[in-house]
Amino acid sequence: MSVRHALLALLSEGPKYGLQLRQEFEARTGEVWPLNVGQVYTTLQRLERDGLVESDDAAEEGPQKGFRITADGADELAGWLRTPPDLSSPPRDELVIKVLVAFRMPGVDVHEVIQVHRRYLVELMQQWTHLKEDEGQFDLGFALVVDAELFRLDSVIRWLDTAEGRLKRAEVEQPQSASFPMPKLRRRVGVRT
Amino acid sequence: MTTAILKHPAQLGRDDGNGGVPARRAMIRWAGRLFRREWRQQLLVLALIIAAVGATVLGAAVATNTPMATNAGFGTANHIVTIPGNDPHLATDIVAIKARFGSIDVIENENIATGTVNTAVLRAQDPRGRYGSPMLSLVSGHYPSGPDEAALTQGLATTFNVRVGDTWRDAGQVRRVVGLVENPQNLADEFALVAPGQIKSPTQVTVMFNATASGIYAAQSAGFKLPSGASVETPPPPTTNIINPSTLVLVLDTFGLLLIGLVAVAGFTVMAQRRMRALGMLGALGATDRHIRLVMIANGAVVGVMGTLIGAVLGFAGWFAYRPRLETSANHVIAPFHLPWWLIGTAMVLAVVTAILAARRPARAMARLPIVAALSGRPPSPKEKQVSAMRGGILVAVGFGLIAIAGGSKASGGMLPLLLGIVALVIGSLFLAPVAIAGLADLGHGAPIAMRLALRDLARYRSRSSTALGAISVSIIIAVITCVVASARASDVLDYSGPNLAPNQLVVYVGCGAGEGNCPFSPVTGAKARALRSEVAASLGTHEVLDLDSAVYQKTANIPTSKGGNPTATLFQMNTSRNYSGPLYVATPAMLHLFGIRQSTVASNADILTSRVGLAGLPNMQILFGDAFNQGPSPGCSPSSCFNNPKIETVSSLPTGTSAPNTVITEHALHALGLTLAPTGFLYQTAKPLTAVQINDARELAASTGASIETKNSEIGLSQLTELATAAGILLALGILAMTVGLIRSETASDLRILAATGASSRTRRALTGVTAGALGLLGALLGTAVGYVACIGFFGSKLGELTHPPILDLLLIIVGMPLVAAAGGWLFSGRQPPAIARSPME
Amino acid sequence: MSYLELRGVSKVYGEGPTEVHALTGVDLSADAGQLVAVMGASGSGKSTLLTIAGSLEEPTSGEVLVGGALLSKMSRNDKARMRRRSIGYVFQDYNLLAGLSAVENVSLPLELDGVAAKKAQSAGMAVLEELGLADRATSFPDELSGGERQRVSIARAVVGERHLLLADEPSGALDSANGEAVMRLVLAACRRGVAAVVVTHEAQLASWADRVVFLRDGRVVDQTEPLSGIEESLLAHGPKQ
Repeated sequence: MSVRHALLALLSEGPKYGLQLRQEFEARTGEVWPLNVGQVYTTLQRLERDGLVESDDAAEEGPQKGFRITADGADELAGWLRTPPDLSSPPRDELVIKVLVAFRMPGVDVHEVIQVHRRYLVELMQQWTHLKEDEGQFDLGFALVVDAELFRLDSVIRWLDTAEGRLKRAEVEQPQSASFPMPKLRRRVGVRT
Repeated sequence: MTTAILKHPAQLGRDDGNGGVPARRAMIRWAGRLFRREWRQQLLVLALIIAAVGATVLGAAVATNTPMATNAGFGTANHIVTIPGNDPHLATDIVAIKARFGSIDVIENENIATGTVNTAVLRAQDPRGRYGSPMLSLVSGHYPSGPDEAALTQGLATTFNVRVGDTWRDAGQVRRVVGLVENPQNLADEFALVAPGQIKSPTQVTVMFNATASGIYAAQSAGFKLPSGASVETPPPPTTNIINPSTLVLVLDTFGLLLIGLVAVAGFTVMAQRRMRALGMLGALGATDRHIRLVMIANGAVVGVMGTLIGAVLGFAGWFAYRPRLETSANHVIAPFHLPWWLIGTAMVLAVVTAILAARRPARAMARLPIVAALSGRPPSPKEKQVSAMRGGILVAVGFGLIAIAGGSKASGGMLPLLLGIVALVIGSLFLAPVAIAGLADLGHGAPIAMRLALRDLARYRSRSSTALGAISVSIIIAVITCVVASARASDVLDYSGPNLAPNQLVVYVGCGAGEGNCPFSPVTGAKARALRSEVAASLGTHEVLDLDSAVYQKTANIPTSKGGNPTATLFQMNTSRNYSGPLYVATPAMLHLFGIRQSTVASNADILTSRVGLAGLPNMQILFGDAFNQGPSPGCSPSSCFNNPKIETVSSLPTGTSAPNTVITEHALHALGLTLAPTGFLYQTAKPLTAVQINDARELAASTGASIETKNSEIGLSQLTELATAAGILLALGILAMTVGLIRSETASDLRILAATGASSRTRRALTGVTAGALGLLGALLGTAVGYVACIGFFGSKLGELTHPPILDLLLIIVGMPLVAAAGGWLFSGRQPPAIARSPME
Repeated sequence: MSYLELRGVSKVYGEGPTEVHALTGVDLSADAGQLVAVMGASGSGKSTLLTIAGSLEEPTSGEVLVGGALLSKMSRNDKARMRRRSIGYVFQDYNLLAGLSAVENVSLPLELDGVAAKKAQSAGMAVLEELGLADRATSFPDELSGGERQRVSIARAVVGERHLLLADEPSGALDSANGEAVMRLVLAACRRGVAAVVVTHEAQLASWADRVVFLRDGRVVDQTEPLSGIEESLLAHGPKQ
């Protein structure tokens, strides 16, 4: 998510001052996403340059300067909300590469490698879950962020589980499987035109 | 949640580890709830217990009330002296008895003719007599007091067609009927009561008095003598024989409950398996083995108590409804609450105990099951096949032996080994059931999926399907034994029993036929007989009249029957010394014509014609005539009274009733043996079954001349008995199937769900249930028939030849029909998507 | 002090060629107030571990101590008594007894232990109230939704003075919201001093635990470090941009 669109989203609720924008941004993301003042102002200046926000001309530069969203800005925001993030090409995931390397390297127990990562991920998840434990002081936005993190980590663990199962089956079926070449992922990805 | 933490130290220290009363109460409550939810699945067991208890209550009431009281005919006296009416010193003899024994009560009887086989008397008795009053009660009107008054029993009044107020003519004496009376101790006692002293020439006089044994002895030693022909009688002592009707009812009840118990074991086993996961959960919650057993046993007890109570209520209701009819058939007045309470109580307790014991077996098996296995719904591993087969084989062999012992002994002492033998066979077949089931799965290889799955499931869940199978075979065993025994009896051509006549047949007897030992009347002959013949024909409105004639040996024809002569020809089997049990009439041309038999179709040298299949094949047959019986059954066959190996021909057109001419002697034999015709009676055939009015008219006509009549009696024929047994066996088997198959299939509801999900249509579902029911039914029928035949072979032993006429139709019905009906029923009733598919069954 | 302790527990099913080693030398302990999760794929032996810990099954070798008592030294009845007094079970498929209402199901372990029905049911009612199920107390299991059923079975597992809670895939077929609710209840029980063991293959459920033990092919292969200084470490990194 870009700070750019986050600021646009905040301004879509009504005109706000720069300082106010920073505070609200942090509050809404459950304070897990710290933002410095400089970042806020550079972004606002770029938005103004692109004609997506307007500032109060009368006021001076500084925390008291107010901003509001333009019609172009609103269009940009609406378009952005509906544009899917780029998930089509696999990210250069370090974990995937590590596992791929591990099972081909002689003398390395790939299951042990997987377990190290799994344990680390579970520990991370434990920390995030722990945040949920005290429901009383639990902000909704924060909850959404925590859930997102948990699901993301969960999906990685599931991949590890699946990978381990697949490796185990491969070991049983063809013990010499370690010699097959690195898969060429690109080749297999279907393209919509 | 801290509030929920409960301190209960009071119970901690002193309970026995089983939670005491509250735990038991909780288990019983749960069992009760389960029964309320699932009573339909236990309906068959419930119904059987209801039937058993109801039948026992009714049977016990009937059995104890049917025999006459031992003091019937004695009033309140303990001695009676019967003096023949022809005693020349009657009056002085009576006075002598009175002088010797104190107060007496005198009843005078004079025989009167009624025109029926039943006798009646004219009786002079004091209704307020010292001893005789319990033998007399007024139904309506009042007792006769004057010389021209009489009170009749209901039966006699009907016979003479008189009512209270009418005049009644008897032997020239005219009396007014002033009341209806009865002998409460013997309702069959038909008499006309007149005031004491009104009988001029009594046939016999009964003097009742009380005396002690020593008093009698003293009288005898003092030289007191009864008049000639008179005898002293005392009431027989109350029976001390252990085999009395009540014990018989109890034995039958116990036996019946034993069989029901087996069915119940099957039902409860299936219920237990159905609740397996819940019981496992209970174990995981900390229920002990005793708790788990208690749930199952409480369920059994609920079924037992419910069945017993409903059965008892129905039994009593039946008794109160039936009592008036029993009074007429048992011929004495019966008090409604004169019941064998000990017997009824015992039967009720037995029924509850049966249900509890039946529930105990699966309860113990469940309690022994590892909790993890129960929780996962894994069926307990069945007993070793070989062990089960061996036990079953041994039990069947023991049963065979016991039944063979019973079959070998002629006396009724064979009853106990017979019952024990059947029990051994039944239990043996229960052990054989799992073995049979285990073989099923192998049969299914290569069959369509539904069949393969159904058969495999039966084999997999063997413990529940084999109890069901055992119960089915038990019901079939009983039916097969009954059928085979009945058909063996039916094929015993010498001693055939069954209905005597068809409903449209009537016989008027004018002379005594063959086999009638005591002829109650003197023969009607000549013009009188001919007149009667046509009068009855006219009143019945039929022209189909057949003269029934016995074949009589001329030279002994004049010897009176009472002197031991038996002039009538009979059939006799020499090596078994058995008489053919029916009358042997002469096959006159008229008779052959009536039954549509052409003379030309019968061999001219045939001696005997018969409709009884098998009679012709019997060896060592003889026709006895003349005074053969006076000579006794000698090994030789004197030509003057015996004819060896008569030619017997089977003619199916002859009637089959025992009193109808089913076996006849030909005129050829008649001439060859020098026999002549002796008119015995007339057989009438009408187009429609005879009505009660027609029968009564004929009876009255016959009575007017001193003849008697015979019509169809209500005896159950052997074929009917076979049909009943077959129907009952099949119904019971189907009932067991209905109870168990649904449960067996509901266990595999998840399989069905998966099948449905993989695209199996309702046809597959139907086929699954149909095959399950059909396979169980077929297996049960085969096993039951096999074991039933083992029993019969054991019983008949050397008389095996009698089994050569198997009840094929009934066996076909059992082996083919019942499984087909079961399969069709399973197919039909499983069409609806069971709710178990819609949602997973809650345990 | 650990309330539950497994020492070198092994379990072998079957014999000869069909022999299956479900567990091999498993050591596991759960302290009072601690929530331990056992994570493993299907067939890793985690359910067997739970049934052995709960005295429903005997280990082939090794020892199990519950509350300091050796299970192998106890009779069947003693074990049953211990189960109804000290151990609460939660199973994947709810396992409520049909024919008994929710409150009767909850109070059943107490009644089995000899507590009078009335007293037991008021205790059961109190637990149901805590779990927000007071209005469903008289409903029968087949009238309850899946989530409600599982909550009732948790109520049954914690009623009375339970010290050990054993749960086998407690969120079973429930959606994640209901699954979370179930885990919150388990955790709440732990915070009151109950030792709990949850076996699951789901990381999201396991992450509620204080300690996660990893089981593979019947062996304990790994476990997580205890939590410390959580929030700071998470917030310090921030999301990647």
